[in-house]
Amino acid sequence: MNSDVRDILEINDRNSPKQSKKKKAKRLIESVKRPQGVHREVWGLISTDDPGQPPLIPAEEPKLYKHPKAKLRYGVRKWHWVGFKNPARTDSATFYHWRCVNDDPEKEYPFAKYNKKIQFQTYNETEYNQYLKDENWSKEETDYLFDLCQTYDLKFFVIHDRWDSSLFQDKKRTIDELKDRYYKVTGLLQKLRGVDESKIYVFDLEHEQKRREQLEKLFNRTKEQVEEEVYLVEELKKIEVRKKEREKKHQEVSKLLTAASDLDNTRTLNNLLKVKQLENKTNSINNPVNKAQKIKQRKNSVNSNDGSTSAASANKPLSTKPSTLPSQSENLVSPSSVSSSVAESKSIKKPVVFKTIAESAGIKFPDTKLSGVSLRSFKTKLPQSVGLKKIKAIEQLLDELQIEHKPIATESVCDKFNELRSEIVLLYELQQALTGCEYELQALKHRYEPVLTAKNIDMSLFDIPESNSALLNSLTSANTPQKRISEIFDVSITPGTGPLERRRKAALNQTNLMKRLRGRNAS
Amino acid sequence: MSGGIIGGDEVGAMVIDVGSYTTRAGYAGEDMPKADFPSYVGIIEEYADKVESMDISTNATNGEIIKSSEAENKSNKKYYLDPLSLRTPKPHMQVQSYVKDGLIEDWDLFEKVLDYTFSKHLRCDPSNHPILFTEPVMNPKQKREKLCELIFEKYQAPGFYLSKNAVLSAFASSRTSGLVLDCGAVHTTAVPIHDGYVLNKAVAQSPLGGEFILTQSKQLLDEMNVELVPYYQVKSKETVKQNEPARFIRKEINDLTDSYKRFMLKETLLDFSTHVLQVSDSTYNEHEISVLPRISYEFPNGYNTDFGEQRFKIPEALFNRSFLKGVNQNALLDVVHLITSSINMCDAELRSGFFSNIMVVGGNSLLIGFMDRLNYEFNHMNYKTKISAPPSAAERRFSSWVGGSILGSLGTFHQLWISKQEYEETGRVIVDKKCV
Repeated sequence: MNSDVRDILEINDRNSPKQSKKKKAKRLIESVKRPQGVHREVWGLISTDDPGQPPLIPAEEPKLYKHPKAKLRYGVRKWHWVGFKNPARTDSATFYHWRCVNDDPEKEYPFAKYNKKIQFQTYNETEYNQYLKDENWSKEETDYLFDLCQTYDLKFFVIHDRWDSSLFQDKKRTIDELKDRYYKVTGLLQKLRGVDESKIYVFDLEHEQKRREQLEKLFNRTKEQVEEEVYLVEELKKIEVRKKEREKKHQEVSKLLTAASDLDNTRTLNNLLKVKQLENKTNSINNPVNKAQKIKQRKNSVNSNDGSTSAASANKPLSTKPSTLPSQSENLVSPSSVSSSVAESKSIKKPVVFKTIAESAGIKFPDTKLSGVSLRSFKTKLPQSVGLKKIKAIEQLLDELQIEHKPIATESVCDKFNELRSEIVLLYELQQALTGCEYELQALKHRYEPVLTAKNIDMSLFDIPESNSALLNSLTSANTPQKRISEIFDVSITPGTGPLERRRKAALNQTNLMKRLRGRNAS
Repeated sequence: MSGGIIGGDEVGAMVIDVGSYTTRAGYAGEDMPKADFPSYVGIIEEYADKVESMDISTNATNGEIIKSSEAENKSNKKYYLDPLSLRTPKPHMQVQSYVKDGLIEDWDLFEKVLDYTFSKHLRCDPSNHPILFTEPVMNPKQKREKLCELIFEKYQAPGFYLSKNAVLSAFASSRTSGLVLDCGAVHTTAVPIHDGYVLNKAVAQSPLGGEFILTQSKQLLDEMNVELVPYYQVKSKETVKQNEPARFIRKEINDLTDSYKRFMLKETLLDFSTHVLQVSDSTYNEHEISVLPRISYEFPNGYNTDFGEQRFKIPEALFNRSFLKGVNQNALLDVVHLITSSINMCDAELRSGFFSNIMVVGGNSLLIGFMDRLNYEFNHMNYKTKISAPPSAAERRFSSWVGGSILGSLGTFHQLWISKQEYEETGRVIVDKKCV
């Protein structure tokens, strides 16, 4: 009874917490007692002694909210409709609003702090007369300006809009004039009051007027002008892209040329050494010399082309070449040209080690050191990186030269054979570059024929020698004018031929390449 | 300080937006006006000897009649203010508007309207509530002062403020700068707004508004020999096939005034124009439009016919002056020129900002296809333009009221009210000083 009363009144009984716990536990156990109608055996299977486990029999429980009532942090607060004074107001008008009873009634109106005012410099009569006089502005006008500035918080667009020029003999003021006057006066006043000069805002009237003028112009553009501008910007982008492309291409070509000239130098050097050493065996090395000549020939042709594609940065040995060219072209097969060119290159360039150069272009034969025993002919195996086209070119030229595709692999034959093939590939690449350049020149020529005729530029600049021999002949005279072409390239608009199209055409030309090679060889 | 809105503080302000076609009234802080009623009042003049009419008015159940007995004078006027009783045909009832060209013209009538608004629509005592009024951009000084005087002297309001409706429309689109194209009933106005201030010198206005569309519609129907019979004249009607003459019985009501007839005719035309008219979405092209399906419209008397290119021709005049009929074409500006000329009058620095911030508000912009056409026209310009409009029809019609509602419930705004005390100290000119 006693405990019941306590229970009802929710008074904690300190004496009997244990008891109540026991009771609860007991009750829980009781609650999972075997329901009627369930066999004891069945119940034994499904019931456990642990009351904490979820019941196997679904029990219907009344659905309750987790929190039957919303838990407010401070309960329901009372609000009342009270008057408030706004310190941002100049008068003491009272408006009414809802306020929480708990709020401090003495608290300042929370929105008053947003009432920011601009600090204005004001002047008095004497100050004005002493410092601020301006022949362009009367005192009344200045007063009016400052009045408006204050009313409209220095929003000069609005001030200019509200400016009533009829008050001052219809003197129209531009917005810049208003600004200029205001900032001049303010600046002077600040200086008078001893404000740090670096903090004074200086209004640049001339600049602002110019800016406004430009804005006006920008705004008044016609639609065509805007479109033209967009078009020009696009064109500029295209030109830049083309320029980059050309530079990249030029780099590739010049790399090839360096390789060729290096090879040439070392080759002739080598020859010279050999000539010295084996004076009697000149006939045996006649073949390689011939080849070197051919390479030179190719290189020169490329060189001429290269000049046309703005090869200002041609490598050093190349830049000296033109002077030696005439003699070379005259005496194609004579060994004297070799020595002369050697003398040339010797004076400019230090001799380079033979092996390293042979690898710089053409085929890079891997320095395979196979473990264990291996055939020496492995050395002559072409590396994987050599493409099918190149392999075919090598084979074709080998056929031309009537050299076995797989010669007997002695030490020297292996070296020579590799060297030869490397040169063949270089030759092939140079030829390819040449055709590419030739094609491009043609394309440009077609493209610019109308432009150039309109500009009265001599079309002969664009004449490309048809055959290589003709090209060589023209080289003697064509070097300087071709430089001019390169200048035209840099400034003029890029040709529209897309890279894809060019590539396809170049590939087409390649098929003719081997034929030409063969034809040249025969001659 | 109430918690609901960030930066908001309710002071129980009322917002009243007087327009040429309707007047809107409500409490600041709400999203829609409590009342939107025509700016027209029905008046019946009666003589004092008819005593029974007084009884009627005092016992008026639905609160639509306000009787004024001017110091027990000989003429008693009965005013019908709510939309329903205004439209009910009554003998001798004159329908008058207190607004002319967007400005409050008939102050006595306006007072009646305010009385009615406070007592019936808002049900409050104006002496407890500050009142925010909207005003058209070109509101002359004496009208502002008069309104200020009225509010303080007659209604004893604790506070009063006047704000330009275009600025409030911009606020309603949550912007403080931009160009507001207000397509109202009487005028279409392009108003450049910078930092919450109207640039007065660059405002462009043209009378090509809703009323103009209605008169053009009337002309069209006259040309087509369609007899416009407003609803109140139709007692019963039969369904007829398209283009067949209407079979209906006319309700005979005597002594209807001309002004009432005109008002009701306008209402009928309004219904016609909202349902039939459409703005072509690109420059008017007779050939293209003749392909479009025709729209059938049934007039109140049962006559029905369909409209093809005519429905495009009328609103086309808003964009192309050569479609104007019977008006001096050169004197008017079409909508696109209105915007561009207004912007051109502004400072070069502001122009691009205005072009990218064009807000279209007003009931006349609810013409079908109006926004599409405007967008089309501005796509052809070489400036970057962005045209926006409140999404719902109600918001577009009430945009300046909604802006007023926002402004009136801002905590920072309450320092701007003209208080009664200030009014008493300075007089009516205070409105020019404080509401700039």
